Amino acid sequence: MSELLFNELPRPTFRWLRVNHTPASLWGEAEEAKGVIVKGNDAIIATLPIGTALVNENYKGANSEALCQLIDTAEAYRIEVPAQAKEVIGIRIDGSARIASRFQFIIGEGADVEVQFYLDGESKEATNIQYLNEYVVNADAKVVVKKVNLLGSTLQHIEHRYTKLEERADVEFINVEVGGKENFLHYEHDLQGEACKIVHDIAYLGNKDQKFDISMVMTHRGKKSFSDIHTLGALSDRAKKSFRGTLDFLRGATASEGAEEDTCLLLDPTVKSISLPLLLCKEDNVVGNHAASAGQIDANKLFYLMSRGFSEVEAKHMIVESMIRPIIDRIGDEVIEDAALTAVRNKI
Amino acid sequence: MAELLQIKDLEVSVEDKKILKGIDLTINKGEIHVVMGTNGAGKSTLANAIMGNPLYTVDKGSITFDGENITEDAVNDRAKKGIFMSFQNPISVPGITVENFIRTAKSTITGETVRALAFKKELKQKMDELSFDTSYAQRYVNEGFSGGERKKNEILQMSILNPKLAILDETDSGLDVDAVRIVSEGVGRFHNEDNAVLIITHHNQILQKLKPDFVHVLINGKIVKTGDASLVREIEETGYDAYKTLA
Repeated sequence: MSELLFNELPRPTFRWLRVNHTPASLWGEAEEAKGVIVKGNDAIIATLPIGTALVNENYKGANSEALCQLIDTAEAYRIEVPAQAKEVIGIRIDGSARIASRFQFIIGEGADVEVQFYLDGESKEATNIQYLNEYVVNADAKVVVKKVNLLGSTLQHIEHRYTKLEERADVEFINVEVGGKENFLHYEHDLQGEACKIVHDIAYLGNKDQKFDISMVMTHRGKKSFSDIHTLGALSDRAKKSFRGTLDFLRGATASEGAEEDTCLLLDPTVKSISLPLLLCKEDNVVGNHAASAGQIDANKLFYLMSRGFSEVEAKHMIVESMIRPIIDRIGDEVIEDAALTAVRNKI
Repeated sequence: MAELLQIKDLEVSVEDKKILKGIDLTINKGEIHVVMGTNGAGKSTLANAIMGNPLYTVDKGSITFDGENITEDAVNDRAKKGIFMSFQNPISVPGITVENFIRTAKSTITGETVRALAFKKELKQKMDELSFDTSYAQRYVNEGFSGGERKKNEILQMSILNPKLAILDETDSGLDVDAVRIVSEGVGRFHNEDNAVLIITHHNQILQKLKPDFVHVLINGKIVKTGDASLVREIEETGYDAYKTLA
């Protein structure tokens, strides 16, 4: 496949800014894809026929061509959680070979579900880890998805994720993105039901020539719907991060509220951080907030820590760790938290 | 008494603006010194210069600590030599608990492993002494703390890191009467004949439980008057007007 355009902005801005999309090609396409490990209650996990239509046929993912190819070839699972049930599902993605997978979660009314994604491993050759997550979160259901990406530096990592929230659905997404050389993360969350709520927090840490290209769209359709995006991280060496965050308030989303915040710590002058918060609004009675900040380490913070005996390097490590740690602490699994923390410490 | 800190003819500027214009100050072990002065006189600059804040440039003069010239030393080296500064506006460090932070700092400063159980016990005792809710030990440093809790956390760090010289930069500002009393008592417990305290303040409340040996009046970057504890009362009654002409 030739060069593709990833994470296209829903409403393009000036072309000369060169931020409307990110061009890239897929790595290791010819390789055979390996399977993933899905752990949980076997009664709710089934195979999804290859080529099954998307939950939202208009969803284009990080790139529509790549997504179509994925749907037509990927091993796929359907995880259907009955109403009022409480389940924990674990998905392990081993990056020692190419991965092409799809997971469709149908969460019944009032169900309470936790999904843990753990990605690690490294392949000898550059290849591609690509998967699609679809979540249909029915009324009054609660979903928490915790993802930790500790993939090796030879990997291109592409995640497409679509979420549909019905009335009073409550969704919390937590990402810790440390691994992968080229990461394309595309999230589209459809707030259809009244009083539904979604919070999506992403912590990232990039070094060397690592790339994090993140696109997030929150589409408010339901009344009194609530969304909150928070991305934060640090970049060193020649690492690059692009964040395209869109809050889209459609007609009928009365009394809805959305917020997005992107915070990036620049540890070297050679890093690049692009932040594109976009607010689209067709409804009068809504609240949309956005904030973006990129800067170097605060001199006063550095002074405070050094006054407690820490060297400049130790203090900088502490500042970076302290930024990401609150999100790692929310993973709730001590072994995974320790693995993530070790990966963070090894990078800074 | 043994000399701990000696400042000679210190001139300090911030962003090319001269703030301190020739400070001489000697602090011996066992002494409590108080620096008072008008807003903008240079009190916090003096504290920052002693601690080695790189945003403050020493243009002239020297700082000698425990017989060693530290004028060019990095901040962390000064901390390891035994200087501690309680900040006027302590920063928050999300992601690192109070317990881990102080334990790691103590280990870094002393160069010795700090045993977890013994440390926990010491931390609890010191927190109890400061009427500091012990559950805060597991909270991130200063994250969501009130102004008073942040100041208590500074005094907690001081009492555990046990420096030779503690500089308290407006530790009493923004505190209610009870919090000032607790902080003042904490400083009193810390102080002994082997260490020294330099208190920078606007008010006399923090001194109610402490007996300063020397009080210095700092006006326009210069120490214009040095006296004993009675000087605090004098300033309280008459203000700084009489000293402004001396600068």
